[in-house]
Amino acid sequence: MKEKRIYLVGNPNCGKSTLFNQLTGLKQKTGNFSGVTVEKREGTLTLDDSEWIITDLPGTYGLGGIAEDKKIAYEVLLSRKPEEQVIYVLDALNLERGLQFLLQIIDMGVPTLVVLTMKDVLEKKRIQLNLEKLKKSIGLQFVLVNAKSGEGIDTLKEVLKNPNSFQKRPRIWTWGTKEESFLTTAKRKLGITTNEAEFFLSQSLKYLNKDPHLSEERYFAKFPEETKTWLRSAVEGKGYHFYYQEEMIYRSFLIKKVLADVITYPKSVPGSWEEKLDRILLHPILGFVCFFLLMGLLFQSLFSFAELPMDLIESGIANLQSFVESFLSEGLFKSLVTEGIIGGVGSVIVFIPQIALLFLFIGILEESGYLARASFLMDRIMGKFGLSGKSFIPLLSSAACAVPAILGTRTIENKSDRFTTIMVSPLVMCSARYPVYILIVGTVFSFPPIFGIFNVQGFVLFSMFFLGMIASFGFALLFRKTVFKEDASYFVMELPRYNVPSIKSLFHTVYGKVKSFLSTAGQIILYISVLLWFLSHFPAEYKNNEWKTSPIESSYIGTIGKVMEPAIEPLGFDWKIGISILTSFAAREVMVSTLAVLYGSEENEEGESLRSTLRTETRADGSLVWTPLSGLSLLVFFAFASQCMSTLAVTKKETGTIFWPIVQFLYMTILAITSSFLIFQLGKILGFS
Amino acid sequence: MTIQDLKIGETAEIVSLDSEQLPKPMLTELLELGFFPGAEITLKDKSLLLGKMICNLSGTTIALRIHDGNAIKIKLRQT
Repeated sequence: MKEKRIYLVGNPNCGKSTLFNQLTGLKQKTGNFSGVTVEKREGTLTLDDSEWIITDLPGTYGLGGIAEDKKIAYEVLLSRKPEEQVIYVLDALNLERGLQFLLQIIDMGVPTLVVLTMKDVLEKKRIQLNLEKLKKSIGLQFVLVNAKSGEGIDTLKEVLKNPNSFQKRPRIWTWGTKEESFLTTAKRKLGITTNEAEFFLSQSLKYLNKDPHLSEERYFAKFPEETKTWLRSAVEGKGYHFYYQEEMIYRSFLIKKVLADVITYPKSVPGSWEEKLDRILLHPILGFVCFFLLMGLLFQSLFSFAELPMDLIESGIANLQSFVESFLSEGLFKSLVTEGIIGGVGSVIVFIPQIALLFLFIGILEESGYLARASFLMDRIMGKFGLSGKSFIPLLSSAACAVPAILGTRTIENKSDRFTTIMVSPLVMCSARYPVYILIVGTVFSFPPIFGIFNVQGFVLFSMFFLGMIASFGFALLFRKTVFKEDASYFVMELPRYNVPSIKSLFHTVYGKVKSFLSTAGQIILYISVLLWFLSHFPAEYKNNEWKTSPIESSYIGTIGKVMEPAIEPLGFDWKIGISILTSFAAREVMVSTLAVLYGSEENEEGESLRSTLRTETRADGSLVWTPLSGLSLLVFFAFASQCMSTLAVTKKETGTIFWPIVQFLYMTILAITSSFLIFQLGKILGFS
Repeated sequence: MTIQDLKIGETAEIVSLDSEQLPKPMLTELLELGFFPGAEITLKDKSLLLGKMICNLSGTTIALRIHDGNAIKIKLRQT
């Protein structure tokens, strides 16, 4: 079977990913582009005796972007093999912008086929497009589809079978007279005949002109020494305008001319339902009311609708554990499999309903066009903290889990904004803190409701959420004023058309995110659980054909706990809390199960028995360990400490260096220890217990 | 004048972008979104409370901070 490679290229929101899903179905896999950290989506399409490997490149407006995912599209196209082809996805409603990028692709000498999407919207808006004329002016083959409904996909597949459908074209726009005539001379002198070579020449000229958008020497460096000398002397001081900016302007002249000829818009109707909706959703007061209602619904669904499936998964895991137990004979292996592996992995799988729901919700908001409007509203507030509205979405997602939130910062073009957002996202209260908070609050704040109405525990939980938000905003400002101060924050964003989300593409988004969460976070938790299991059962002795494991006090982990006790005493913690803090550095929720193991309690996470054991726990001097003061100190510790391997791993992945996760770990941990110390010591001085 | 000076409903032609005033990534983003000399821009809405304006640029709706708008020079189009 012959294998061919095709890249899907186009602007963001042009229907590229929907087309990708239509062409490849479920035969998809995700990975990373080699050498960089941007996610790569690849799928296969089989037609007759050929197989196409289709890569969905990140959506971009042009080749000048600096966000990592945008640069990737450029790098991939630049380093592709000559026979690899491009399907350029063109949004019929954004022809002007889409053609800008298409002309850049043509200039690079890539064999291209154009797929025109949004056929339905075009018809609905009564926009008339003369496709024949458009084809003629651009000189490539066009296929009209409706990616959502699948209309036109069969025609596209037929077209794909014909190898002549992908065409190369010489540059169709022209520079200014002066530049153009120089190019002709230079091409003749250097013997340049192909598109690719001409592309290299014009990029080199931009470099020689010191274009701020293209300061790379690599194109120029490829020419032989003799050519370089000639080019330098021919260009320097002659006042040529070889700039990316100028190039876009000249291209737009051509595009305007082409479009005037091929497209007729109906008279615009002000007061359309979209404008009316914007008037409400972007209103400085009504907009916020709608926004808070939507957010309320989001949190409600995250914490209540997810409960039933979470309970089902929990009992499923318990059933699996007892099922496996009945097969294995008593001993170390059984304990490793049931407690270490199934228990450990189970603690992650439980969060899948929440994560899936979060992404479903965010996916709906995004596809419908609302998320851009939410960023618009939040920009003013975020701006006070040195960020832009674009950072709002990742911070919001952090309320479920910082891992996908950090992955979501890829849409932020401004590097300082993006890195700041990555650094502060883990301070926002995430779902893994929930079981811990509930245990602590339930143990030490078991007061009757104030005036019979106000529930102290609920109030403390809400305060913790607030604390996380304040801390993340405060640190954002600090990072922005110190380490990430270049490139002032700015906000410019397209407000996309309102759209009904496609169920198929929502499914693909949710499925993809859950899969990548499981493979990154899941693996780490599996390793840590096995390691924890080992540390809490060993050293062990082999006697009378059977392993005798140590009690927790004298296991490796118990020994570590005793050693560290003096260090954590000033924070109000004893050695058992110390161990649970240590184990929860892998993942916060591990704390609850660690305490359960340390106190030999078999009850579930919210079980009353663990709480009552904790309430009666005393120190050597007879004082209680779990008091409101030490509880508060512990709560604040959990709010700030960087206790999540997955977050650190994803920070490393996204920043591309080990340096930032180390900084993140250190600043959060120091913040946690200092805050806990101050709370406990000041509290003691003020006479609280 | 700059797009800050536009009144709601007014249409103008972009004359130039002030690259001194704009952060580099923003200049790129603006160009790619279609803010280049010669492009036609209409102010659709302006919210002082949110510090933002909404423009229509060749068929697309784009939001930006009013403050950033003073780097985009325009000339009014007679209608």
